[in-house]
Amino acid sequence: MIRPLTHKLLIGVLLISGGVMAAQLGALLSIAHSNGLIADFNAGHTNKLSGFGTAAPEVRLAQAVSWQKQRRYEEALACLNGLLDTPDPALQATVRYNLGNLYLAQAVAKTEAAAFNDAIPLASLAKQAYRQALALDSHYWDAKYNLEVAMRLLPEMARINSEDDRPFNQTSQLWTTVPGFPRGLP
Amino acid sequence: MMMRFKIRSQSLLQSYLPARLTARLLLPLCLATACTGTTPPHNDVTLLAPRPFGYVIGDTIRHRLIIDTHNGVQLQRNSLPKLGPINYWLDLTDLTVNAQPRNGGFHYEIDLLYQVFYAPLEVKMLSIPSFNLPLAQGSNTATQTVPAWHFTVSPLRELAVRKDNGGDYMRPDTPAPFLDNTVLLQGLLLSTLTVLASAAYLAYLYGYVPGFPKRSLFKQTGKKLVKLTDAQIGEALSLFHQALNTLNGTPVFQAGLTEFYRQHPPYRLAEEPLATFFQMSNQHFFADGIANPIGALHALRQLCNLCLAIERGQR
Repeated sequence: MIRPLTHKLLIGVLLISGGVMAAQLGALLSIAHSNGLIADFNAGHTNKLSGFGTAAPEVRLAQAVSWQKQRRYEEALACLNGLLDTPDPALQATVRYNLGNLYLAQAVAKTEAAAFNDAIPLASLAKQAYRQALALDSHYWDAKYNLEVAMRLLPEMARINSEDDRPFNQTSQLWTTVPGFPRGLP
Repeated sequence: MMMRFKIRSQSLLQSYLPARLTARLLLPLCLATACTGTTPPHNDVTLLAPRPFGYVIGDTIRHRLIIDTHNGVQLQRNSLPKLGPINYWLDLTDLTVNAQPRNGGFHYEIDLLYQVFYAPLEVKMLSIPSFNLPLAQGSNTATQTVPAWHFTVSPLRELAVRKDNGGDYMRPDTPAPFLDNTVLLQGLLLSTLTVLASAAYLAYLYGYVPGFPKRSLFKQTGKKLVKLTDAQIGEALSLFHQALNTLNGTPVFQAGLTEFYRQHPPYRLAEEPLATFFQMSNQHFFADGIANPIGALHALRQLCNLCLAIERGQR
C-alpha cells in the first residue's frame, strides 16, 4: 500500500514539474520569437524592433547590423554602444568587431573623399574596437583581417626599431601621416 | 647565487615545435656568493617558448618560465611585469605564477601570455622585450634578465589593398547569432518525462490504468455500490466482503481483523467502520436482519470511499 507521504510527494512532483514545463515552454516560445526577429533582421528586413530595451542582446545586435547595412550609422552606433557590457564574451567580441566595422567603413569613405581629418579618428576608433574584439577572442580571423586593413589605412606612428620598442613610449606619438591604402609595390 | 639559463622551444601547446634551441648560460650573481662564502647555490631558469614563426596580427604567444631556486631564494612577485601594453604592438594579457617548495628552495612556473598587434607589410622579425626577474634571499636581492625572444610575424593580405568582389576593402559584419535553446529543450524533455512518469504512477494508484485492477478494488466496488438500492443490502455486503477478501488474499472474518490490520496497517484508519460493517454483516446473514437498511447502505458507501482513499494513499 502506498503511504500517504508518497502520494503527496507524487502530487507535488507532478505540480512542480508541470509548472517548470510550462515555464520552459514559455521561454522556448520567447526564444523562437527572438530568433524569428534575428532572421528577419539578418535577411535585411527594415522593421523597427518594438520593446527594444527588453529585447535579448542578440536581437539588438541583429537590429544594429541591419542599420549598419542601411548606412544608418548613428542608430547602429547607439545600439552597439548599448551592448558593450554584454556579459557573454563571444557576443561582446562580435559587438566590438561590428563596432570596428562601423568606424572603419566610415573612415574608408572619408579617406576616399579626401576628408583625412575626419578619417583619422574614425580609423583610430576602429583599430581600438578590433583590438578589444581580439583581446576577447584571439582566433577572430575577420577581426584580425580588418584590423590589418585599418592599420594599412592608418599605420601606427611608431616604427619597429630599438628606440621605439621601449615600453610605453606611444604617448608621445603624433599623427604624422595621411591615411590611405598602398596602391602597389614600391 | 649562480643561475643557469636555458631557452627551450618546447611543445607547450600542440602547435608548438618540439625543437630545442641553443642557449644555455651560466650567469653568476655575485651578491649571494659574497654572502654565503661557500660554493654558490645554482638557480635554474628555463624559458619554454613556442615556435618562433608564423604569427599574424592578433595572435597570442604563451611563454613559460620555470625557475628552481635553492637555499630559500624567492621570487619577488611584485616586481614581475604588469598586465597591459608592453609597447604599442604588444600586450601582456595574462600572467600566472605557481610556486611550490622544493629541496629547500622553490619551484616556480610563470606563465606569460602575450598578444601581438603588429601589422607588417611583409614577413618581419619582432622581439618580445627582455625583462628582469627579481630574486631575494633574506635581505639580499638580485635580478636575472630574461632575454628578448625573437619571432616573425606575417601579413594577412598583400601589400596593395584591393577591393574584394563585393567592392569592399574589409570583411563584412558578423551577423547576430541565434539564441541557443538546447538547454531549454533538454530541460523541457526532462520535465515532460517527469510529468508523464508521475502522472502515470498516480493514474496507476487511482486505478485508471487498464490491466492493473488491484489498485482499483474499492473503486470498482464503490461503482457497483452506487447502483444498488436499499433492498439490495445483502448484495452490497457481499460485494464489500469480496473486496476485502481480494485485498487480503484470503477471506477476512471479524475474528481475523487483527491479523488483517497487521498485514495492511493503513486500514487501521477504518477500524471502527469496519467493525460496524462486520456487525451489520452478521446481523444480516446470521440474525434477524439489519434494523435500518437505509442507513446501512449509506454507511457502507462511506466505508468504501474511506477504503478507496486508503488504497490510493490519500489517507
